[in-house]
Amino acid sequence: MAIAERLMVLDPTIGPDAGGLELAQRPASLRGKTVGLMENSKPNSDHILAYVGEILQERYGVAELVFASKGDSSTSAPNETLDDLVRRCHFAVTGIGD
Amino acid sequence: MSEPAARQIEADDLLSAQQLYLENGWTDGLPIIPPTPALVERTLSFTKLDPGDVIGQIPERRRTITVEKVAINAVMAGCRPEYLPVVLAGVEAFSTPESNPHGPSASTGGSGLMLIVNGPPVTQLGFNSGANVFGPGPGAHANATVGRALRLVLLNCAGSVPGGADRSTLGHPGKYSWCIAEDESDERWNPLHVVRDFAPAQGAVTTFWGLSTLQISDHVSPDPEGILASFAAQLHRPGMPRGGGCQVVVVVGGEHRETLAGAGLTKEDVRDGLFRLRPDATISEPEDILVVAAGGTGGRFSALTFSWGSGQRCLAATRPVEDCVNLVRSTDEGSD
Repeated sequence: MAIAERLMVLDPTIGPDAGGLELAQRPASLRGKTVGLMENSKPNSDHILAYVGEILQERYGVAELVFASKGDSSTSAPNETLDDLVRRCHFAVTGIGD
Repeated sequence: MSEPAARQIEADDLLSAQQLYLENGWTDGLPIIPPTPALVERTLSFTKLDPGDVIGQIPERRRTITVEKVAINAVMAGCRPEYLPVVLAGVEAFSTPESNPHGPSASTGGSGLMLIVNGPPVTQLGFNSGANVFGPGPGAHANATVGRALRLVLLNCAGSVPGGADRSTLGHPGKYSWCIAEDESDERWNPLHVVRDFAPAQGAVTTFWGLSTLQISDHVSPDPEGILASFAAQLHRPGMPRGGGCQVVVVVGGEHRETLAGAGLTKEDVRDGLFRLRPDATISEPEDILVVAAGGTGGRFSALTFSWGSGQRCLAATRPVEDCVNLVRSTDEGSD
């Protein structure tokens, strides 16, 4: 490989697997709805989400709060947790990071 | 030459290729070996796997890592072609559910990915297990490049881009390269992979999401009890929040090893002794203490590296290294 010659090189990257994600339908209004609040086990994430829940109730008329936990910040939420949230809630709020 | 599946890009010359990879964010900041199709194909000739085979997946990031992409990053890192099976085993290991890579590679907490090499590949491929085992040098080519290849795979294939999915506040020096081999020359101690239920003649690698390494200097204790007490005094994950279920890699240097093994202590004795002496519940089970024989024979030093993960999550993972397909060809330099 001479330093001044043109050369072909290969892309070392991989992106996320294509497909499989769709946005859920958004409710027209939050009034009277049930919201899921899933914390990620990091300290105070439960308190932050509880405060978010209060705001949703006071300002937007959300009727009911359902609290859930991922249990581990490194892995996806268990399917049972997600299924329960889907069954009981109109929408959900979660968070990432510390 | 077979056509690679990866996108091909034309560069004006060698230096332009360097700039291309740097500007695209495809490097760790250091120069790379431009992965030409010929170099990648030569590297791929050292595995029985097909280029399109999947070697690892990270479901949380919807990433599927192929053998070809690992080979590309291995070339970039400067790996000799025959190192590929070790790199593949490392990728396979870090991608496992027990390793649970999403958290430690994204965390604001700085962790590096340590790779520990065992079995025949250590001597066949020239990994360093002796003096300066955590450091650079002409005798550390395999260590340096294989460790770097894993980081480039994390960067380019697993989405661990600094400032992107990698949100580490401080980073970690081991993010450039963090690969050691175990010194298996002393038959009094079982190698790590044998402790973890692999056959002695089977090559194997163990990945470990590690925090900062703490060196333990004990130039005073003349007996095993004193050495174990020195190690155990630090078994509380210094600098980190208290929590159980952590793991620790204990690299025992040559002089400490001679004192311990010379008194008849096996590796399991060392592990169990440290577990009994631990100051708190940071480590929940003896098997979470991974004792590794490495380092030089001059100077009474050993080292502890705690896991990023706690609560029995993000664990060390050990996988076999396939036999090199064409290791005998390693002396065939050729030219590109």
